[in-house]
Amino acid sequence: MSLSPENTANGRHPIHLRLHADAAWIPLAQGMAGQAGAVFGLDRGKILRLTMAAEEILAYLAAQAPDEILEITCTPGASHVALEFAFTAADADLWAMNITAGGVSDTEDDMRAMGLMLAARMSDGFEIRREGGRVVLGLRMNRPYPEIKRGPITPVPMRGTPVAKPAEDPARISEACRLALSLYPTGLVPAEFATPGMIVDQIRAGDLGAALAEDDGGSVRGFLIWKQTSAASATFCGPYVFAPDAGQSARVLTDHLVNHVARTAVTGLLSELATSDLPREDFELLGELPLLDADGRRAPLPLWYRGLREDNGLTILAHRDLEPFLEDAYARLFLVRDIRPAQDQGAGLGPHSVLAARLRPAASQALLTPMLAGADIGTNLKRHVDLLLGEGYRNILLHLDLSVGWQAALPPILAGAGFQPVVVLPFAGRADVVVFQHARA
Amino acid sequence: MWWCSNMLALERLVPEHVRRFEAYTPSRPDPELMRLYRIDHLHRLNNNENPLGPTPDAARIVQGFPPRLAPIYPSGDAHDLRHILARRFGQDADQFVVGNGSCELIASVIKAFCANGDNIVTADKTFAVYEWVAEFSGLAARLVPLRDFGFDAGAMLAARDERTKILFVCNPNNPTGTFWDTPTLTAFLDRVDGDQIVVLDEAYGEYVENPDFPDGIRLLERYPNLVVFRTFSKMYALAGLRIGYLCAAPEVADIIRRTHVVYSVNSLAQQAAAASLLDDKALIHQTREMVRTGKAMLGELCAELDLPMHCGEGNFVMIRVPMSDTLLYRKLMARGVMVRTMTGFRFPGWIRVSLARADVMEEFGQALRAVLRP
Repeated sequence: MSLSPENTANGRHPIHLRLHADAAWIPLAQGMAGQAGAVFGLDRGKILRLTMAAEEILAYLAAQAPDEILEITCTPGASHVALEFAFTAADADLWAMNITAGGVSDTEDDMRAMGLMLAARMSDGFEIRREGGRVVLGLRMNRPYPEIKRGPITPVPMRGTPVAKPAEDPARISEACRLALSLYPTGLVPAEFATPGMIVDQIRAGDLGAALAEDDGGSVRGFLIWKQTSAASATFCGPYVFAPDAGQSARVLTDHLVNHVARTAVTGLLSELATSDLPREDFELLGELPLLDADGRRAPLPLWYRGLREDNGLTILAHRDLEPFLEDAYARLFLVRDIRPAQDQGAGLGPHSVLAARLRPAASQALLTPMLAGADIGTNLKRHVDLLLGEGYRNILLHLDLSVGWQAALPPILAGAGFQPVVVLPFAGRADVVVFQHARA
Repeated sequence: MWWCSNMLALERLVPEHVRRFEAYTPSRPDPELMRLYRIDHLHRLNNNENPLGPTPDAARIVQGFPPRLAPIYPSGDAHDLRHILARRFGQDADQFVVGNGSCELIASVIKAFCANGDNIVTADKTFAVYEWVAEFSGLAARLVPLRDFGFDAGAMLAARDERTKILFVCNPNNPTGTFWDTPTLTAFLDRVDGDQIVVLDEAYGEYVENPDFPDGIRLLERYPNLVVFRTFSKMYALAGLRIGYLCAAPEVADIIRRTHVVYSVNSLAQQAAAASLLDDKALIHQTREMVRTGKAMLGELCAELDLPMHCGEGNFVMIRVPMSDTLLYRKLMARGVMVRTMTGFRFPGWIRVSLARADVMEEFGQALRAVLRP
């Protein structure tokens, strides 16, 4: 075990462990996860979950890739603790990281994989990514924060003209979260607003950008948050406006955001949850996701885009089945793209694919992201759809990055699993991302 | 793989301030843009180039540059050009430093006067290279908001501290076209009182006809901390040859020369620039006439389309557009017209349009009408 030199949240350092994938080391991995979780601020329940996840993952990898060198890292984030396993993945099969894993059969492999699935489900988020010949498997556990409730709002008269400022004061941020929760529909407010302490910590750590609109009397009149989500794009939620002069407050907030990111690596801003207060004339409507709310009522979500630079083209990969959709979308948006053909070349694939699933039960929404290619991607997708439909999810979305060849070749398989392309998100991944939606959800 | 180890080494070798710096992405060549946008012509109204130039003598030098000179190094310190500049402006040749465009001169001045922990002060909405060079050099750039589209002298003075070494003033300012008149500039220099170097960037100075516009070089004797930048890229239409110069007090020029890369300006650029100075009256007159006509045309166009226009000095104007400037850029590109979006200048929703011949301005007007009133 060693301390790394880098600084992280709260002045804590990551903890590293390097060992063989051997079940004999499970107590050591458990001890590391448990103790690090406690030092990094998790509550008792989360510490227990993190400890169990460490056990399940190590047990699984010990069976799948015995003697492989594992590097386990536990890192304190702004509002969470991350546990990562990095290893060479030539022979490791990660299919059990799919939320659909387990229960497919009663084989020994399935039973072993069940533990891994449990580890994924016990966490507040998980991801798998490839880094060259290695695979990194990461789990995230959020720290505990007190919740606030929606409540009645007493209007305060506006004084003077609103001005946008970087959000720094925890009390004002907390007030803004409460006002947004109280004044806007649930589906348009990030769930994290219910725990403003988490938002404050993420802002302090630079994980989130945020601006407040304040009037001459110092009253909070608006709130906007954003986050860089890829090398070239950032998403925003808002603007949330708490004053009668919605237009003015919304304008100063979005101008603040655009000016803040205009000279950074960010090429485009995308709305994640845009309110009706967004100054539409400064943004481009990419399209509308025909979503349903948890009660089955129509809750369409418009997606807005703001380019920050002079867009002079990009090369993307696409299956020919998707080309008509893309050409129409790009022509409508005046985006110039070189479309290169992508299709399954029959190159050797592992048997099992992995899809990441991000679930938002309150919005009845599931977002799937292809993570690892595999020969079973079609049946894997169908399994995911069946499971999510069975659990009552009304909105099943999938993001396809058009810079990744094997993903770009998927449209026929997606169509076979009931997905249709809905909207293109410029620069949302390594290149543009197409949002697919399951038609029967 | 071999590149993996290189990348790891870069992580260790590259300073943090360079790692976080975002490289500037220049626009693609015209044929590539025309292919992408499926257009058969492209008017570049984005870089404030002068379509009327260069001067006839400079053009003859460009056309007749003898290949036998190509293998021979240029004059490393632009000897002949500096002497022509000295005669033209009544200064000593040693007071001039010639650079590969003003961008190189900005870097030389910053290198000459700033060390780790120092800072520079300039405006937040001006030529971005002052800020960029400071930041990728590991120095802080203190950016002062404009007031009424112009540099705010009081705020710039207030932004200084004991580690401030240079104050950059773009006069007239790109992209707003505002300028400090002589009393404003001298009052500012009086208050600086020699505590910092003041760079006066007069890249667009030859476009200004207003008699209140100060000639920075004439102030050098009174203010030895002043450094005046000029360029052959704008009025003299030699942007493709990349050549500019600065003029400063002898002791200041001597310091800057120590950090300046010699041989960075090629022979053709030096000769064309020298020729331009000897034969510039007609070009300046015709260009100013073109700019006046262009401003009048765009004024009428903006009135017709009910668009706010900010028209200062220089061969450009700013227009507030009723949509995202970057979307408007793409829509105009699809009609063969390239403008500069102002989001990167922190003027979201504005475009900057370079002034060109009347027929090109007319085509821009038609494209803008078609986009805004389809």
